[in-house]
Amino acid sequence: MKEASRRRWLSRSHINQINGMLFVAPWAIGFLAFGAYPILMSAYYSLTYYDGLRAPRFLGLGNYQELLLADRVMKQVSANTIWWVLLAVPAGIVSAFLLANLLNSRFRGRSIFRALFFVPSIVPTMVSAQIWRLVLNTNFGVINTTLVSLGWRVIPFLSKPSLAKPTLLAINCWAQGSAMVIFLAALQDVPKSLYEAATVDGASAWDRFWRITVPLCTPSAFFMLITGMIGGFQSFTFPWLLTGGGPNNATEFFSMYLYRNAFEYMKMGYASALAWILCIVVVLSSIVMFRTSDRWVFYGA
Amino acid sequence: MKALKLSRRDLIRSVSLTTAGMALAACQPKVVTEVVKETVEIERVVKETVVIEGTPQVVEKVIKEVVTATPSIKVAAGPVTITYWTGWYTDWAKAMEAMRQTGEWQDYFGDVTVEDSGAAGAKFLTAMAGGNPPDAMSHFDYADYFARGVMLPLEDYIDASKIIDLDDYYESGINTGQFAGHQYGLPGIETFGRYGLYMNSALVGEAGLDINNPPETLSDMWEWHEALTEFDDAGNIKKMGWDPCGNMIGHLQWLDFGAALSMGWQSFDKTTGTYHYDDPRMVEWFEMTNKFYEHLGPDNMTGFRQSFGMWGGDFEKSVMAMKVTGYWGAARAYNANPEVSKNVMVSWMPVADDRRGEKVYMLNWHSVCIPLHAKHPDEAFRLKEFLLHDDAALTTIFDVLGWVNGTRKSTMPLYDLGGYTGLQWFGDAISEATTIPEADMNPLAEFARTTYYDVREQCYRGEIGPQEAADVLQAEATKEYQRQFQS
Repeated sequence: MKEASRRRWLSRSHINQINGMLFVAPWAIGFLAFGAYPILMSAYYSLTYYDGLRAPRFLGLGNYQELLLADRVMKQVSANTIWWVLLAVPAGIVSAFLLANLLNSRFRGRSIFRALFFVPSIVPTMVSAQIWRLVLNTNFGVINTTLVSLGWRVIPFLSKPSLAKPTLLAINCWAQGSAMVIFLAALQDVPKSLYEAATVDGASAWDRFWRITVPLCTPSAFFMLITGMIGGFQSFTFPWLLTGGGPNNATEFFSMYLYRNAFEYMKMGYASALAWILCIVVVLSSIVMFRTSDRWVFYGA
Repeated sequence: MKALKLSRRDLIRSVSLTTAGMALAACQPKVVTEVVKETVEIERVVKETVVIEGTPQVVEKVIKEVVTATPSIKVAAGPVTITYWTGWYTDWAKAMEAMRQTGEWQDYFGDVTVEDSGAAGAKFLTAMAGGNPPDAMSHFDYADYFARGVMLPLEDYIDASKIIDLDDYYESGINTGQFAGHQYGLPGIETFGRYGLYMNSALVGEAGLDINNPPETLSDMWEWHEALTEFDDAGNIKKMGWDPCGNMIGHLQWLDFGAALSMGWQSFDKTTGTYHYDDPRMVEWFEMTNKFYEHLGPDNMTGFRQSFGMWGGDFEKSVMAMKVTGYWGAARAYNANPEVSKNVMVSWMPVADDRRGEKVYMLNWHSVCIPLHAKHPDEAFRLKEFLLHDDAALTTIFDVLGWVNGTRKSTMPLYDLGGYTGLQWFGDAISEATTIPEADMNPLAEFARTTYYDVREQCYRGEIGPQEAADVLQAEATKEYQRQFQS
């Protein structure tokens, strides 16, 4: 009798369930401890004044009110970040796509060029930043010392507010090696028969590019746009290393401002509110992009 | 008998159970046991001057001493490792290594190992927030942490110390380490004059100026600056006279505000927690910096800062003729460029025109402080005591880095201030000063500093006027202080 009831309690499906939970337990504990718990705590801290050293003090929506209505720097920070997402991210994708098209052609030394264009994406960011600083520096940079030797005025790439962001955009385009590789793979997948058919029908090179290559690469472009948009909203390392947010807050992006509030100003609660605003904006942007993707993303030939 | 089989499913299940168990076990708090001795016998090597055959000679002898530890100072039995973090590690690491080579180090520390490393502000904050602070820390925004009550009061340790003599300290040095009635630190490591006008006498001479009649006021600085600044035909800066936004005078710190010291007003009242950034003198200061930056070009100057940093790189490369910075500038110039160092002359920091004749001498302040929840506070305090040791610490630090501990009356004879050109001035000047200001103890140093830099740049780029810049700085600092300390 006991044996029968034990068998009913520990049915095969129960055992399978327990086994499954045990298998995912290591990951689940890690996720709960280092993912879910910090996320939930940041939501709580965003409703408090919290400096990381003393107990949090409940503020309600005070932090959100402050950052949306009264923060002196927020307007510029938001403008910089939106500029970056709307301009730098598409520019990077376009430059990667064009590079991939060039490197998809058959010419001698193609492999070497592919490797050279890919190198920037594997060089550590700190190293890249130092190299660009040596290239662009007003007093020691290669470009400006050449200009001075010619008797010309230096170009303040990173020290003039109106030039700093475009300079970072150009550097961003230089570092698109990974995106270029993804587009190269997408280009390999475009059926050659389509090009042949188009040629037979009298399509020009531009027509083939615009009506075959581009549409069939839109899934990859969409992927790059989504990931680039998410990365763009969180842009931090390069501007932090090259300009520190200057000149005149021209390159102060959202993530940098969040970091400053959390770790320099000891305003962890306010920084948590900033993080949640960023999360909501990224989620909404992603939803919009997915909803509109039907109009321009073509899956399959 | 049936053989015991372990299926793949069983193996994976066992491994998962084990891993989950280990992950849970790792989350348990560590149990720390501490063994305490109330007394300990130590041996010390002391130097004594004895007369042998009519000739005084210094001899060493070993003495044994039983140290009876008070309840607040316990010495752990067995090896202990303490962590010591400092915000200026690049230079400080050399001095720490040199001190480790001294015989006195082993005497003081015995079984205690000091693990020193560098730390930026974020590292201090996250370690404390995570309940895992270092045992000792130095070179950070002290007032930020004193004001938040996260540092260990050291009165008991200081009272029990056989090394520290408070009568030997200048009073301002003691006061700066106090907050809300507690003593959180005493000045050590490097504490000397913070503001001196350094001039490159070679560049000054080339411009036809008299180095023996240095500028005293901001108007004098403007005249010298105009004479010393050169542009090339394309409008690029070749050399400049002075950057009022660089070095110490352009800085805003927990200890003081360069602009306020020069112009002569108190920017923060620590007794009432009130800021005075909207003082009319702040407006005059912004007007002054605007004048210099309109002359030099804001983009040019931003480029200069990116090229040379804020702490004298341009002076050391002879592209800037004057800088206002602390005593450490002398050794720094020597180490960076001995040719420039030979030409260094130092005078008083420039002041507002109506304060001509005022000689302002502000003492620096750095201390080894101990976090409230440090695991080994007693051993950390021994580090603090060691860094006050005349031979092993003070002279070693000076020899390696040129840093001076000038807040104790007895230590000045240790230093050969003539070793670095310009350093002697700081030693002589302290007795001539007409003003030795008290420290601000601004607990929002980082916030106030960044806001000051922002509005100052907006001002010299013409986006806002000087009055608006001062008003914004005042409003932001006041609002933030109320939110953090008065709500």
